Amino acid sequence: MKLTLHNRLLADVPIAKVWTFFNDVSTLASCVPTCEGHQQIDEDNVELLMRLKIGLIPVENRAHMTVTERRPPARLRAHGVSYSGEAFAQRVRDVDKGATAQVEIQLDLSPQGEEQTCIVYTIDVEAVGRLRRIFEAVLKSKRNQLEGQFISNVARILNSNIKVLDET
Amino acid sequence: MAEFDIVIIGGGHNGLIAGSYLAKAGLRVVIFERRLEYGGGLSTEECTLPGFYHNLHSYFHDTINIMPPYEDLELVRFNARYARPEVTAGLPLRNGRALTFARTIDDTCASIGRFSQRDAATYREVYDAYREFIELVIIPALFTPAVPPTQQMEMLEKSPEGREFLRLGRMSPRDVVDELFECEEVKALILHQLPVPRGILPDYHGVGAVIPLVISMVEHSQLCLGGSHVLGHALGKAFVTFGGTLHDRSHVQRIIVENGAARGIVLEDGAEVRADKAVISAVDIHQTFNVFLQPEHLDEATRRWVGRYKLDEFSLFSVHLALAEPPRHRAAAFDSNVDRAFRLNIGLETPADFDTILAQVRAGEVPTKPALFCSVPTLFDRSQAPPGKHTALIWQLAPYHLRDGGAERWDAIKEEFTDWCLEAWREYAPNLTDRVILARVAYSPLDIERKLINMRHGGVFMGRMSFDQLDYFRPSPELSQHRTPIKNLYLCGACCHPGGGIIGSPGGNAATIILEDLGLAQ
Repeated sequence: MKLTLHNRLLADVPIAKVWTFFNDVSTLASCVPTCEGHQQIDEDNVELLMRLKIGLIPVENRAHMTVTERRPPARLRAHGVSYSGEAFAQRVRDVDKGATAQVEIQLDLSPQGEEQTCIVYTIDVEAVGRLRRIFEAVLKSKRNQLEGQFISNVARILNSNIKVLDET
Repeated sequence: MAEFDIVIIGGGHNGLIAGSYLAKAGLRVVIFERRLEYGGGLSTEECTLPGFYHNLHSYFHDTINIMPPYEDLELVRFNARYARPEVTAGLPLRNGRALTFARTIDDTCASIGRFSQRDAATYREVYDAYREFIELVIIPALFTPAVPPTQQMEMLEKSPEGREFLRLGRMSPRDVVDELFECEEVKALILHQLPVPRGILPDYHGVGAVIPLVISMVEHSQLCLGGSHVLGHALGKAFVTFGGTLHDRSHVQRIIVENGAARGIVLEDGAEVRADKAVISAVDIHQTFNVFLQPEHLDEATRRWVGRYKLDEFSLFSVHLALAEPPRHRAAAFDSNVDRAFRLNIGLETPADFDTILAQVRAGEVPTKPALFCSVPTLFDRSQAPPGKHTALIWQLAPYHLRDGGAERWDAIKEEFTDWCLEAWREYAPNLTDRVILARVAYSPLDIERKLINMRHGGVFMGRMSFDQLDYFRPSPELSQHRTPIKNLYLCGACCHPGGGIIGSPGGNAATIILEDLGLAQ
């Protein structure tokens, strides 16, 4: 089952600043809710440590993201896999096989005048593997809360008002 | 090419669910069911008087609202609808008081608070602490093929809160309630949710996590409108609609094994039915491995664990009543909700009462300790009796094998024991007189086995629901993924994770595994 997050936002900052933000891995990771830490492997690859509280109990997950397309200042594409558990990750050579989710991210920026940028993102998350029912249940339950937090964090970092133009 | 891709032995709810998923995926599936009625324990019959319909086996369908097959197989389309009573459980007491649990945490805590304010606060704390985790992780895990214990622990062992949940899980339910609560009646009503319909006894170590599950109220007490058989019929219709073929009154004699692989089945009339891709057994371990297969088909390891697989430790003596009016409990003067409780605890007023009945059951004694699980379906579904009349059911914990006389002795003492059960309930509901009881029918543990041979020794959960036979160890680690040592032979019955009861996950999980093995997406 694929879960899609899609939004169009209007930020009161120039496109160059927005582009810089989305390519600054440290700053971007700090905006991702549940992200506790990251390790940049190279220019296009990063590992994220995610920690989500489900009720009283925190659950950890790791995500490996790879930038697959970068066209400044407007277009970014990335692919990722999420997996859980240290031992689990170590057991699989092909990390995709052990994944609990496959993630596809599309980001498109367009200037709206000199001082505003339209941000359009689509994030497709597909839970895979044996634990997919758990992953799907958590995603469905938490998506609105997490997405709202992300937008709020981005606005804070960009020091900008962000208006949600439409959402799915 | 054989006529079918998949042959399924047994048309109980798990077989029907597995078959439906596989048929939906485009496979040619046939189910052979030995009885006239498919649906296994989903049995509703007019066994007392005309117009009174009694649910003889499965009745409390607590997981329907969270069971993926309910939506995936469009069971509402096939008329399987449910009533969700407001008052989910009631414990009338001899001293005239009553404790009730309800659909909402507020109403439940209000009732508990009349006994213990501290316990009411604790109950709410446990609810708040674990409900989301139960809903988003534990419940979906039931509908996932069993994962190894190390993988489960990895998720939890990294945090103090997760380790606390693991600690609770290592305890017995009795130990958990003793640790959390002070009031004996509160403990008793929580523990009453375990044997029926979960098959778990309070002193089973390693299953303490069932207590937060019960308190979380993620599962909802509910009954099938029209009777449990409506769900069985809905599953049958869904299976056929998705392209499956269903044969009733078809007794399987053996599984065909050629060159180490399951190739089909032979019926008792000698007819062979070949399967191109798989044979699936939805029936119990004994029939699958000791009746349908020959000893030479099994390796030593398989023979060993088949021999040591433990049957249910308890059975149920059931009484089905046609009534002129519903039971009216003396304790309703204290809490009127007890007269509209879905699940009634009669006789088990403290945890020590559980010790008494379990000692009797384990010793093979005819019970003298009332341990009744009662319900009045017609309070929630008027279609199950004529206008103005009611049905009721009693399940008393009982042994299958009686120390004096064996299981066969149940035939001799059935009526006398029925009188005893009614007298036990009458102590709490004095209006259950001979004038009100229009008719009655009883089913002993021996009758359960006679009717449903899957339920060997009257065990309705098809194998003990103890820590060593649950989860990744059900029925054994080697078979926990539904595959057997015989190529193309799979298991999908309640002998698989997560066990007995109307959950549907053994069937659904087996379908997931089989589709994976066949390279087909679900």
